[in-house]
Amino acid sequence: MKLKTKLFIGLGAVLVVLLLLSVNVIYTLNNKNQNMNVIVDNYYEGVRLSQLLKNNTLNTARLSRDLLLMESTEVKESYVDTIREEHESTIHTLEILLNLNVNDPEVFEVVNELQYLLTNYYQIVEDTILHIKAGDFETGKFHLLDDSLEMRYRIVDRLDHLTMLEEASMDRALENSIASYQYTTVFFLIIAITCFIFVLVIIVTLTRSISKSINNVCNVMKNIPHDSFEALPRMQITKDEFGEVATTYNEMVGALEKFSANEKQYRKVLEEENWLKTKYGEIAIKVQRSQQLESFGQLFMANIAPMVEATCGIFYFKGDKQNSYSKIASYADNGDKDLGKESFRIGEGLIGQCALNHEVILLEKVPEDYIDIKSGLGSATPTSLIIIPIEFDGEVIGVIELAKFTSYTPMQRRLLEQVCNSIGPNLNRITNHMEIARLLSESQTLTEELQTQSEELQQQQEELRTINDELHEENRRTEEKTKELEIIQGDLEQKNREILLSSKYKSEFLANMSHELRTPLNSMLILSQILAENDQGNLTRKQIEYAETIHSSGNDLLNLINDILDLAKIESGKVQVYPEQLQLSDIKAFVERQFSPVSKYKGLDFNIIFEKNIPTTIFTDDQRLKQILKNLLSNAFKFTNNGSITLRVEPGTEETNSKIIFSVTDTGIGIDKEKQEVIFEAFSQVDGTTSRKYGGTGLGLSISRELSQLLGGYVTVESIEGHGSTFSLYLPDYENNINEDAGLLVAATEEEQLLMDDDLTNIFQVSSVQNSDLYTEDLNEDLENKHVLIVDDDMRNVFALTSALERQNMNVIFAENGIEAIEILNSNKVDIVLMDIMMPEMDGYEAMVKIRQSDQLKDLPIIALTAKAMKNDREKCITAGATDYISKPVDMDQLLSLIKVWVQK
Amino acid sequence: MLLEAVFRQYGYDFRDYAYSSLNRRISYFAQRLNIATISELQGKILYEPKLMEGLVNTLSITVTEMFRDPSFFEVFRKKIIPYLKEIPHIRIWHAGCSSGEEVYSMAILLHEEGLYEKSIIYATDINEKVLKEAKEGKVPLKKMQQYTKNYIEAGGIKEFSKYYCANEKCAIFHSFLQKNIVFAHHNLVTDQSFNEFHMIICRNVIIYFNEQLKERVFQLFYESLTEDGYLGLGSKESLICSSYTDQFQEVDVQNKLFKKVT
Repeated sequence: MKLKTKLFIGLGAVLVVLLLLSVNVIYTLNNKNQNMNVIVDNYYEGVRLSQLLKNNTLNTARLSRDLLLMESTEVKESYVDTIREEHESTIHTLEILLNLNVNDPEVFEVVNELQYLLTNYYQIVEDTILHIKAGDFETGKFHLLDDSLEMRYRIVDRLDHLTMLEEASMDRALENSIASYQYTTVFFLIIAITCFIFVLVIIVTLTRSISKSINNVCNVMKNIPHDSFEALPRMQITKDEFGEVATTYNEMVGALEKFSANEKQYRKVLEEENWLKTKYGEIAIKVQRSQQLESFGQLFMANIAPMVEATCGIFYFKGDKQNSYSKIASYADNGDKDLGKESFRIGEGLIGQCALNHEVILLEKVPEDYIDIKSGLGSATPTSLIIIPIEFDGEVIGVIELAKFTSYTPMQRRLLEQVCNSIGPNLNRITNHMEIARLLSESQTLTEELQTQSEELQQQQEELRTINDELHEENRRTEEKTKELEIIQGDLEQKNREILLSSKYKSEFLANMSHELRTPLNSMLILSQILAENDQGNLTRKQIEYAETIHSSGNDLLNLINDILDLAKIESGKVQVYPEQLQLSDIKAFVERQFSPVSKYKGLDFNIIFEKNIPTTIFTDDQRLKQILKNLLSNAFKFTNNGSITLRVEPGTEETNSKIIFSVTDTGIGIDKEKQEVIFEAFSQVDGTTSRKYGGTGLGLSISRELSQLLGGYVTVESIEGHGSTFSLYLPDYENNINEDAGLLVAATEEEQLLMDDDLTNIFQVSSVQNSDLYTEDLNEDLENKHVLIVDDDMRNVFALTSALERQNMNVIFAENGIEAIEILNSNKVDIVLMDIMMPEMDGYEAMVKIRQSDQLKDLPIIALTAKAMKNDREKCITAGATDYISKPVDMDQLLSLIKVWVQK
Repeated sequence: MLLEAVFRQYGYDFRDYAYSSLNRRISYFAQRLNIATISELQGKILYEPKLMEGLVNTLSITVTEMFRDPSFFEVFRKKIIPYLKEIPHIRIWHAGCSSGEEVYSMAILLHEEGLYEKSIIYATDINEKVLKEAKEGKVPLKKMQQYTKNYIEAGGIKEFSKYYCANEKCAIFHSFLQKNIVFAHHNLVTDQSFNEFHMIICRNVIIYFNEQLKERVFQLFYESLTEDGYLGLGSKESLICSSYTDQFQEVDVQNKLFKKVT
């Protein structure tokens, strides 16, 4: 039976019992109630009505009596009305009583009797009333008192009897009721107990049945194992609800078993995935850091091969080559690096095919001698081969081939495929990285290359500058030397453009000197001559001799000065060459004319020999040639006391670069070999004594040589001491492009020598000695004539600086404040500014800012004079536009160094 | 061939110098001597040691400045001086010092930081001629203007003019700056380290070297530095592309200051 039915039946029964019980109780109670109602309604009503009747009768009796007694008609009327009302009430009550006691014959009879009596009574009363109305009180009284009295007693008696009857009936009914109650109580008790027992039985039965079923279910469920969901216990299927539970449970268990089975399968799949992932991850991590293709390949092969238990393998990579894959790494090769082919074209062999198709190629049962895998113990042929493409961007960029002794499991294949799929980007990354690294290193190389080139250029520039500087230096030295020359030979200057200025001074000097010297000399010569003539005859012989000596010495001096001027003119290039076609016969005539008298005077032979094959003319300066010859011949005559002088004119030769050679040969004192060079130097003679013995300035040969060079030729000497000398003049045709500078340079060096020997030199040496290291004592060219502007309001400073700078021959201007400084700068040329910072009107900073605003003064060196303590001032100075700074009190040496640095251009 | 010969004959190893630079310098050298071919030059050089000197001078570029790349010295002041202040005796190696401008710059910097007294600067170069110049401590006046600007830019805290006095051509550095400088001949290509240094400065030298030589030089520097010593390179030089990238930590990328990592 179903649990529901059981419960319905059991609980239903209880309900039914309870219902029956209730019905019973209600019925009984209802019964009781009815009984009570009967008692109350009938008996009590009877009693009451009888009482009422009694009352009415008595009342009527009283009223009627009163009526008799009263005389007022009005009151009589009201009494009559009341009696009539009583009458009606009595009739009514009697009817009710009759109705009530229909069932009770005894009572009924009494009532009927009463009815009769009462009707009679009221008849009497009515009669009385009528009597009364009629005023017949006596009849009425009589009537009333006699007839009604008896009647009244009977009525009351009947009424009492009725009451009694009714009360008896009431008592009976009450007794009945009590009996019925007792019965009911007993009956109810019995029923209640029966019900209780019945319900109890039902509950016990139900409880047992349900708990049994639940226990069954529980037991089965308890038996379910917690660790696994395989082969779970099933429940017996009963017909009740537990049967349904069991069915559901069985279904659930079934589902669980299925789920567990599924889960197991999933786990297996997951584990495999996990293995894949782990291995994949391992490889990914291991190859991640490699940045080189080869190392990547090696690393990759070394890792992937053991994972899939492969015994050898090769990695081909496409790289930059089109359609060709080359080996970049291998696994377990034979040591000689010859495992597999070096490269494959696309479509070539299985590798190429794999690359072409983008598909994995798997080969089982590879033939015996396909490939050997060697270990220390032996070698064998693998049986399976797998070739996998590595793709990137839809392109096969590499191929891997792996061989092993057993077949590839699906997992291994999957791993391989997955790994190969994923290293595409990796490979690409590496190639990109390598490319980037290559580009980076290229760019680095280029950067460095650029730097080297720039430095080299700088160096070359530096070298050029050095060379330039050297040239400048050379120039400067030349200049210096020229300057030295200036003192004596102003004419020299004109040829040198770079020393034009000093040359001017020199010429002026020379002109002055000649003038200044000649003027007193002339007076001296004239006066001495006048003295020597002794016109007045008042001089002694001795005195005349003195005067003559003065005169001849003066003459010598004049000659010397003339010679010096000559030499200077030649050397300074002031001597112009006027070349012309010169007839050699003219020369001959000139020489004869000039020297024949001298030779005769000195008693010497003078031979002039003109060779026959000489040209008849030469293109040169007539005057200069004559001057040279004159010099050479005068020398010859001067130093020859006996013997002969010969002038030989020969044709020139190629080797000597001349057209004609003039040789003057004497038989004089000759010149020592060592001194042969010296004699050409100005003021030089063979020895100190010669001058005394032979006189002369020693300038003749110098002048001759200079002139010969001027004409494009040169002078040589051959001599044996004591036997005579031969001076030869080699002369070509004059050409205009003769290197005059070279001549000048030679002249300069010689002039230097000349000066060194000269006592005069010292006087004019002021500007030439400059090489001392004691720079502070030294007048510095860098500073000389530079214009310095001192801007300072403190006159003591200005004075100190000015005096120190003027000692360096600098031109000092000063300004008291910034405004003044700017005004000065706008109108004067200034090379450098010394700027004090603390000033009234416009301070140094402001002034510098203002100065820098002008385009022309942008690069003007400004040295800020700062107070020592204030370090920030320096930065402020630089920001304001100062070029450099120096702190006060100013160290002069430092300041001079600084100025030297900044006046450099 | 020429370089091989030079190496055999004179011991100067220019074989690993950067090719392009070498090429230019040698042709320049040959051109200056009016020599048409390299082989002719080789012949001449082998028999004329004087020419060799010229070749060395030509090949070693001696371009330098005082406070060259002022920011380098500025950063040096900020980042390295604090480290040096902790060290009782500072040793600094100026490899490839050329004519010494940067060495004097360093001396001035150390002097201003009050470290000069406890420092020794080893200034080395391959070129004897420039070393001699360096020892003299003279700088042409013309260059001093630029140097003064550099000095100020490099964060000089005193007056540059305090350190020199000028004659009509040169500024001569005061001798106290030379007191702790050791000038010596050293060839980065062939010679070994000679001490352990807290700071090595080798600026615009390795740009003339090829990759192998750079590696060698970096190794030399690495071995010559104390633990967490510093290396300063030229503005265009880099440790990138060398295997020493990881051995040095960048202190200032712009100014190529590196710190040794151990």
